[in-house]
Amino acid sequence: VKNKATIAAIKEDNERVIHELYNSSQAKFVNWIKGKYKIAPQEACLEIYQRSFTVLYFNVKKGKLNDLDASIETYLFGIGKMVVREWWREASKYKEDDLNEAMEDLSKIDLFGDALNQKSDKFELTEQLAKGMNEIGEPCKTVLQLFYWEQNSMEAIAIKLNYKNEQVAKKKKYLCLQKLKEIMRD
Amino acid sequence: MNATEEEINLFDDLLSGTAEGKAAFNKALTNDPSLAQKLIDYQNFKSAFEASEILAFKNKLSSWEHESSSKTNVFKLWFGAIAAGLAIIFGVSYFFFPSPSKESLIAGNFTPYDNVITVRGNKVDMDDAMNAYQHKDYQKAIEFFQELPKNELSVFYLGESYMALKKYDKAIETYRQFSNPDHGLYEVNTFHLALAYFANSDDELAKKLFEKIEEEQGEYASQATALLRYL
Repeated sequence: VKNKATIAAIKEDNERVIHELYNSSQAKFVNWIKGKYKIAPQEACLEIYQRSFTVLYFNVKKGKLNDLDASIETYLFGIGKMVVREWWREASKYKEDDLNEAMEDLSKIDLFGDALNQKSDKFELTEQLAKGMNEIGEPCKTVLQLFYWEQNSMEAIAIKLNYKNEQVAKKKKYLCLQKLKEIMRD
Repeated sequence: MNATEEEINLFDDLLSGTAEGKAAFNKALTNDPSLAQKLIDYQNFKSAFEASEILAFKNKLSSWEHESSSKTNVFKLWFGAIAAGLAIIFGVSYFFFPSPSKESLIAGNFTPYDNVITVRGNKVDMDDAMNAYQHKDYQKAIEFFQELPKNELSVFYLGESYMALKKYDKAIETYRQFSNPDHGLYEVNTFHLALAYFANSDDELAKKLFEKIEEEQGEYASQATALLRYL
């Protein structure tokens, strides 16, 4: 029941639950990374933890982790193992059979390498967009979030935001895109 | 990306996958071949935008990290002083205040739950009510919540508003309508229902519910255990 409640809360973006989950698993996860994979720098361990937590969050949101047999924390550690594998892949420094074992339930998850890997071609644009969205303010933030992040139709956005009709919502979205471009230009 | 409003609408309709969208784009493309490149640019922009949600979330995690490290520093500074103070006060207060009042127990265990509603999905209908709630205008919030269709969120926050105004019988009546054990707010709703029973002197019901919360070992188990000592 607790797993289900946590998953429901994550899907609803209950920040308190997400924050608590983030805090409660951190120390154990970082110690595990340090002990098992001998990754010593605290900063690197935190980066791996944050990536793993991000992957967990978005896969839950996208419905790829619904009926979990084990605890959420177990899956977080399973994802952590996959993130470590990515982490080491470039340097090919670390090869251990254990790293190649993935949990069955995690076979379909997305590690969001394009978004999180700073070497991706689009990373700079992605970073600028994330910063721009942080600065743009309402109602533009919600309009763009609903369309580009949550993939709502313009009709649905008009209903949700009480716009007169779909055309008004489209106009608003276009003006918000222009505003975002200006912020990114500055 | 230098597309006009009309072109962006054309691309969005095409990318939504409808036959009409495809037909309209093909027709426009025959008149203006430069649309092909503009579409590629827009698709790149769109995928970078989608990825920015992931990055924005990760940035939020980093901000929590900074928040908690600054809190830890403040905590470290104050901890020594508070601990020393408590060592002196405890001996005195133990004799002067042998048992906390029911009112202070409720106040110590109840804080109106944070506004966790964002402008997403059908929750936008709750904006007025949540706005009043966030500004601690609980009476007004109650009026708004009562107008809304009944769901877990409107029921829970209506209960919270009654509780904040110390209208415990109304809070009980409301919290009891929350029936979905899979919902993320179920645990806090149950704990606040138990607190409302306790405040309303429905001691038997409060005891039963605190025991259940204690048994389930969830987020409020330790608070329930502490409160059971007063029942």
